[in-house]
Amino acid sequence: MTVVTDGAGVSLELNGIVKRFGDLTAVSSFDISFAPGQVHALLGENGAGKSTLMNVAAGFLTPDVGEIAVGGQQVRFGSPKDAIDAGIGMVHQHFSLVEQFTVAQNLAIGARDIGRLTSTKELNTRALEIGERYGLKVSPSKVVGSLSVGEKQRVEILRTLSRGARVLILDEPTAVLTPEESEQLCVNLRSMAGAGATIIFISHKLNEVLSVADHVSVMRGGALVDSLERRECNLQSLAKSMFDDFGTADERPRTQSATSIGEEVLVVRGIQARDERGAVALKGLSLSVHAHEIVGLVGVAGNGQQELEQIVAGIRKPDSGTVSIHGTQVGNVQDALKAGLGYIPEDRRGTGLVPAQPIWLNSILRIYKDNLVSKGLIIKTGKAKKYARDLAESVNLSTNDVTTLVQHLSGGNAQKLLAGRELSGDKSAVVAVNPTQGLDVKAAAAVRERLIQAREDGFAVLLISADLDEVVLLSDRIVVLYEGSVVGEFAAEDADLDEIGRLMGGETSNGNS
Amino acid sequence: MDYQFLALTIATAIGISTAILVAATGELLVEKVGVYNIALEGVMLVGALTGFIAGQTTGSWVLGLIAGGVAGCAFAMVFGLITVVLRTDMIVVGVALILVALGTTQTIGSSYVAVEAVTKIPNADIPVLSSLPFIGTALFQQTWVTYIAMALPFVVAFILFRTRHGLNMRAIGENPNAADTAGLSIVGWRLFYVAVGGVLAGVGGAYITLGIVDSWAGNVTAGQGWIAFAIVFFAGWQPLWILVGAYFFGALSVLGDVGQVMGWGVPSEAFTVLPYVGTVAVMMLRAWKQKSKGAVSWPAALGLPFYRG
Repeated sequence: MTVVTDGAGVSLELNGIVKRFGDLTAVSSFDISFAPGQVHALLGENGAGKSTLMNVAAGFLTPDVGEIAVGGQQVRFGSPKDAIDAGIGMVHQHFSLVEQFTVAQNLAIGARDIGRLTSTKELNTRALEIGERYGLKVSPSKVVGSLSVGEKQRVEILRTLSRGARVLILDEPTAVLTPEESEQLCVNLRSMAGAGATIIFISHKLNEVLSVADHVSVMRGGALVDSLERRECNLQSLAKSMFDDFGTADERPRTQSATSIGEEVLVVRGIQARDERGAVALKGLSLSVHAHEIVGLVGVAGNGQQELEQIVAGIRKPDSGTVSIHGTQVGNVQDALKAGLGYIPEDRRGTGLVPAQPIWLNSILRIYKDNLVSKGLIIKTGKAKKYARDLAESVNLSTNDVTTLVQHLSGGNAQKLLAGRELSGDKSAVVAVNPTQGLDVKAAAAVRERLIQAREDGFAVLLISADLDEVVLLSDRIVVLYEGSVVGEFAAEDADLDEIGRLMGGETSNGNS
Repeated sequence: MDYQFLALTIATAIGISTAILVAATGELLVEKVGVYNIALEGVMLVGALTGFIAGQTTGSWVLGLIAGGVAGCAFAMVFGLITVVLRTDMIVVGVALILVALGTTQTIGSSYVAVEAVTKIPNADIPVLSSLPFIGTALFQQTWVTYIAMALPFVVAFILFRTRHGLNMRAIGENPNAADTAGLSIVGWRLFYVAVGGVLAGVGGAYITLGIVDSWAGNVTAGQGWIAFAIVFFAGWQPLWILVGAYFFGALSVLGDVGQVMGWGVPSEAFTVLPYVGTVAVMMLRAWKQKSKGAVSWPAALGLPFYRG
């Protein structure tokens, strides 16, 4: 195994890598190389094999066949440690940081260049030095658990770089970031590449790839379908490579409800609430959503969205204020459900669905007491499965075998199932939180389509999303949340992205709201 | 109650807490890297019998303690291999191993029941300090093992919070993925500390048969392993609170004897149950305190098998 000595960049070549999981071939034999001093984007839909390929390159997976070469030298990785010793480090979407440790302590885990006895001062100085060396600002003595996602990501990148990574792989790094943080990240990546590092950027967002990459490689179904210099590609050509049956999904114009807005359905009045740490999260927030209306709630993560979402869904109690649906006040999950509220939580596999259970049980989770599928304490299995099959069919699930475990569904199919469940039955309102996060373009389009359908059906839809484009695309009204209060409200046609961005960042309105 | 009697009572409480203190400190180390060895009671039993037999055979309590430590280590490694390497459920394996230990030691030890120990751990009075009034009797007329046990939590606190090694240990217990990507071997570290915890629990067990009851009987540990296990929770994974917890429970179990001597008229059975009731009460208090503070103090990855990625 090669240990790369200090110096600028180093190239990474992956030759004929094959990786299978059971019957599925996730990556099928092709050659690709990554040059130093470049941001190389790896583009593809979910399940195209991008992450698998890079997990092989970073030592998290062992390839079935194929060779890896770093700086022209053949290497073989048995663990992520081998890879990082060879200069290859990967930053995943889920950070490997100790939340309870300070930034400096996190940077010191496993480090050899610190004394056997640790002093806070020594660790903090070292963290500052690391930050300076790679041009990323961090606060050494802050506890990681209290940082924003963007700050955590910076720490994670620094941790990887400080361990000697000269090929830095980032797996969908912007999926968890706010727009401002994403921009900052791209600037940072560009300057790292400028300093000679090899940056590999996994993404399924076309615009982002076009703005940050020097070189773009497109994967589809485990194969490499294109590898181009930035100047050789544009939005259309990349989209065509990414999807063989590319349609209109991404370029759809803003949708507008065909039906005019109806009466107030979901009404939130004067909600005050605290977060887990006891700090004030919502300061007397009020808002209402009408039938045939989608209200998009935007804001930088951590400005009270989570608390509001949970209070509306009935799983968190506010200090004061009320939530009502069609005039009926609701205070817990059962109330909310009875009053006709659907809930599509962000954490679809943890809060929304039970991954280890089959589709049919997940389908009836919210209606198991209904005579339709049960009698007293007994679930009518046949009826329940029939119900689930109908649901699966109505949302175009990839499988109609309802005994399939939800954990075996792709992210997109799981979300379609969840959205279908929460929008069916006797409901009139729904809260959807980042409903398309992490989904590929096709699945995201299907989920958006479903929300639009719900609006046509007369639903009041509260859409809480970190994806500003999505909110603008879907909403009839946009509400901006900042530090637990509504700081701006726009009809969709008057929405000014710059103004919304300023309000999200805490600047006061220019009188537009 | 005169002063001398009180001093003796404190001395007894500290003395009989030694086994629990040593075992709990070991368990703390194990839990800090994310594993809970719920088989602690079994490990102590194995140590207690092996230590006693070694003492009888060699006539040396030092060799007895060493044998107890080695046996405890070996038995804990069975737990470690099954749970850390094969990643099975710690509770199921732990409880099964306790039953194995209980049955095996009872069978093997049957010929040692009611035999008096030929070697006992002697008290070692500390010069000067031991002749101080009250304090001398209460604190400084103990065995060497007891003195070392007292110091142990301080040593552990230093390692955990002041050294690079301790930082890595805590990282493994909080987020093994972070430690793994930093090049630390999770399985290696966890096995190592299961072994260390096994040594300490084994020595603790041997201290019961060689230093406290000076004989062997089936189930001689009588729940001390469970109390040690609970003390780690009670202590909120803080080493110095282990000291407080162990002595608190030692005091509770001495109260029974004191009650009889003083003629409090409370049946001694009521006092035997005190440490266990005390454990539950303290755990509840702790839960309330945590609820009001809203903080979780246990290692975040405690009890979770490690899978890469």
